Amino acid sequence: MIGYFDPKTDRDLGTPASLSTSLITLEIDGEQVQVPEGTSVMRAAALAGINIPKLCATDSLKSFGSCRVCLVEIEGRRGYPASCTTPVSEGMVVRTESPRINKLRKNVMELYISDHPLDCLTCPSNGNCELQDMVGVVGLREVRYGLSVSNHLHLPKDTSNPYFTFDPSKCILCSRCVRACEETQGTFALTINSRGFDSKISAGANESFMDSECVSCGACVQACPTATLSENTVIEFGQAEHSVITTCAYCGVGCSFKAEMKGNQVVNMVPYKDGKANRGHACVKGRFAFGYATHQDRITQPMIRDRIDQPWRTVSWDEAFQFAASRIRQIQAQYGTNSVGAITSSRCTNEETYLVQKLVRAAFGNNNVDTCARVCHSPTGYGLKMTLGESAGTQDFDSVEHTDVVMVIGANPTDAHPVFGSRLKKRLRQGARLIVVDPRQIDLLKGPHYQADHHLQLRPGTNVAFINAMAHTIISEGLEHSDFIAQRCDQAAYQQWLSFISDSRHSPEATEAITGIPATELRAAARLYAQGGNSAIYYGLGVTEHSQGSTMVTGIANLAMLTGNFGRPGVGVNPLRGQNNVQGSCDMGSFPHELPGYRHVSDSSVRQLFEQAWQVSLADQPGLRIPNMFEAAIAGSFKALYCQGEDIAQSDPNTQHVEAALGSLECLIVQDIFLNETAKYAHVLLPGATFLEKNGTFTNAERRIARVRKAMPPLAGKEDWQVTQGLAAALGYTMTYQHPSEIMDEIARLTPSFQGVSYARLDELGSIQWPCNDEHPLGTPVMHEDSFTIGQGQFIPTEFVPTEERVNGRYPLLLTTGRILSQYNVGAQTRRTANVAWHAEDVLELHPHDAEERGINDGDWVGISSRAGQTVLRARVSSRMQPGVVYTTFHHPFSGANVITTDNSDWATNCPEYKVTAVQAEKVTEISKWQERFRHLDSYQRQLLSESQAEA
Amino acid sequence: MNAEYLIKMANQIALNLAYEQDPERRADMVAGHIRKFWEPRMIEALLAVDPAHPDLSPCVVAVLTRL
Ligand code: SF4
Ligand code: SF4
Ligand code: SF4
Ligand code: FES
Repeated sequence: MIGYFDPKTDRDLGTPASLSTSLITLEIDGEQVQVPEGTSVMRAAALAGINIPKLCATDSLKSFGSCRVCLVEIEGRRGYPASCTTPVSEGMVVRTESPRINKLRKNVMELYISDHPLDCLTCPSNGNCELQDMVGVVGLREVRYGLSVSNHLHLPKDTSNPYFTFDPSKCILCSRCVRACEETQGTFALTINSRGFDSKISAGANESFMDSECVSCGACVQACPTATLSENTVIEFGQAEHSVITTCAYCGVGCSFKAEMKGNQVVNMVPYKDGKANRGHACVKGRFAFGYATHQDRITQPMIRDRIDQPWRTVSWDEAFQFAASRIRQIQAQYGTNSVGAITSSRCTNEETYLVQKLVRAAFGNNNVDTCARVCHSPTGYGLKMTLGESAGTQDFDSVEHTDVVMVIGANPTDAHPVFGSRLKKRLRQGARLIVVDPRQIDLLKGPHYQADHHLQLRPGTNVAFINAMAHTIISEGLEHSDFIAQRCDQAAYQQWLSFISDSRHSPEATEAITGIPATELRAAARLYAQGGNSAIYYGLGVTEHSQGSTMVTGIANLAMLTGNFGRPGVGVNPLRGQNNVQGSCDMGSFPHELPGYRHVSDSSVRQLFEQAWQVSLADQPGLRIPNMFEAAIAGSFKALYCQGEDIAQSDPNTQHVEAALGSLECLIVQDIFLNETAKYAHVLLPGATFLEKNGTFTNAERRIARVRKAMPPLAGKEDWQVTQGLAAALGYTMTYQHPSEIMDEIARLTPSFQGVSYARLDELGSIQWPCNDEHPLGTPVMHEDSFTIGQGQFIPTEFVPTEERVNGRYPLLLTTGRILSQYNVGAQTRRTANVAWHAEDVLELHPHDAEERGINDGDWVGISSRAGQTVLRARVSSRMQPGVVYTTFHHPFSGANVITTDNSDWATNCPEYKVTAVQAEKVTEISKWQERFRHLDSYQRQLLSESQAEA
Repeated sequence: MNAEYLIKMANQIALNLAYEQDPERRADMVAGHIRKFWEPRMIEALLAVDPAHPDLSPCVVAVLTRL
């Protein structure tokens, strides 16, 4: 069943809402209207149901007042003021229509139309064009000037961007695109060139869109009232006939979208104005990169094989389930109950993740379930739970609008969390101060109209020394928030921590040699953070993916407690999550030591609750974490794995080790939309469904639970939760859910923080930030308001322990890894879209000094070796890096970036240390041994796949 | 399971909890952490390590008797 969700309002009210609380009363066309002070006459009229004609105004942008079609009469005022730029005042009397007003509006429209190609019937915007609408509204019947005078109809189109076309002949110079690029996106890529008749919108300095600064966010396309900027899919398919509100399946921002549909075809994705995470904005991935859903590589039928060197056999769902279940049961009979396990996916829905862990605990009979969050944010869970009591970020995204000092640590929001990056830049342009802590020069450092106050360019692997120096400075300079600490924090723990941090080994002067951050710069940053007003920390994988990831998260929480930055808008500790549902998959009990809601498996009262609901007895000991599963597989005690929607062969560190582990499994069940790298080692391949093909919920980085709504039927006939349910049935454990809403009802019954969540409630509120319960029936935008979840905040000492991964004569460089804007994670989806136009291959960035020393030029093949392995990438010489530090991404499997990362991991959670690997780089002429093998295996497995499909 | 792998992890935990200066309490904390996060076969494999193993840190030797 496809459920349609009817949005409350989608009307364009012309100008943004005013946040004022004092109300103004005025009269519009004889009606009394009451609106907040600062509202425009246009918006006030729209709220009263009167739509004043407009072209250059739209409610996502500040009004500009250039088109003059919105003019009105105001009693006691001369002339005809523009209603979009005129604020309401008490007792104002407004007329929106009169013969005179109409005549003026007609004149305006006539001028526009005289320079407009009148090919409306075949125009891509036909039926969705504001110019057309306004011509209709003002009733223009003749155009006196004719098209013979000079016009712009000959201007060539710019089709350089793979997703949208710029057709300047249709431009009315309303500048909505320019303002969207500035105000909404913050890129400032567009300008109006020259003046008067020659005026023209241009990307950069008369460049094509592709060659300009444009990041293809699409905000300008959405803002354009005409067909000048149009999505290519709309040009190709025409206007949509219905829409479905859903949530982006790429990153942890969790943008809300209207999937504009024509039957089962997505025409375009339009960010949803009422979406509280994104407020109507989106990025190149979510808005444009949805073509993978219908890519020819999709797996459409279940397949099985006895050995991985055999061709696949296409079978029915039932046969696949029976085959998988009997193998699992055989293995358990032979090697014991604990020889099997599963991995849940942060890309699947909450309901699907919940079912997989339920299958493991109830049907496999053990706790061997883990999630890919292990390899990114498990330290966040650990650190925040130990200090504050809850494994989640403390704020909503709106909070940034109240922030005075932003400290970004090990995160690259403009690339990895673009929509949040844009919201952050907006706040920075308004004057918030910025501290960036990162080994690289990231784009956020400097933008139009703002600049970071401090860039603390620390050496990779020295985070904890840095955070200790911050805390030490605050203590030694007496900048701590004593009242907050006295009222909200545990005093004994604080005293112990205080004596730890006061030691001079943590002073910036002492740590300078470790971190490379000049002491004076660090002191200045610490003062700013402690004294600048509302200070908020945003951090990413540059914090967690270290051998001391958990310690660093703890240190961040300590620092925020020390300065009283908790419990109100504008402050807090905010992890920026990588994948869309990292938060959700953790909440849903994907960790081997925790049942849903972060409750330890050894807690017998919690176990009893689930035992009653699930009608089984549950194991009371923790299960294996992903890296432990690999070790156990190699050691021979772990034999079967059910892996849902994860590509561990590509995403996990030390690829050759992972390959050895996967190769030693007797039964690997992979559920995915493509033949991913892991599937090459699989015995059972179960087709997955994309987010467009299923119902469910995702939980984003601000704990916001939002609906995923089915827009088209699943290609292979089953949504992912139905697949898990089928596998469970074959294992003899029956689940009888008819719809994911029933799974959510069960989660709500069993998990206190989800108590008030239901699909009905989500439809009503749009989205909900957990905890949602009797105390917080509408959810919780800001956590820890009056007290911490844990009660008294716990300061915990954070000793700096250098990683074992150190440079030496053999491996003199430090490799660190990251993400880029256009590609997503292992790239399985984005690589199958036109996003490859921006990033066709992974490259190795290195500093000119290191390049010169090795005789490496831009574009050369470079061999990178570590103690784990060797791979070859193309070089990009770039001074974004410090000397001695090199950087790469891992969006393409052939690059083998993870062949070189080691199996070093976080001490508390085993989260891999992706961010620090000691390497050597040298110029080479051919690909590495691993890449040769990869190529061979890849073509062999593709052949096995195509043989089976030819057969079917 | 590979003993070297487990020894390395156990040592790493001990090192990161080194801020606790009382050796007894510190060994308790390390043991508590291991019980909370390690699967039983990992604990068994660690217990099978000879306490005289040269790579075991003194703290982890004390932990062995607590698991
Ligand atoms: S797509 Fe985005 S970045 Fe590019 S010009 Fe338009 S608004 Fe600016
Ligand atoms: S391209 Fe569109 S939004 Fe930009 S000025 Fe022209 S008509 Fe307005
Ligand atoms: S990838 Fe992230 S920022 Fe981009 S649209 Fe999707 S959720 Fe939003
Ligand atoms: S809409 Fe008011 S001037 Fe254009």
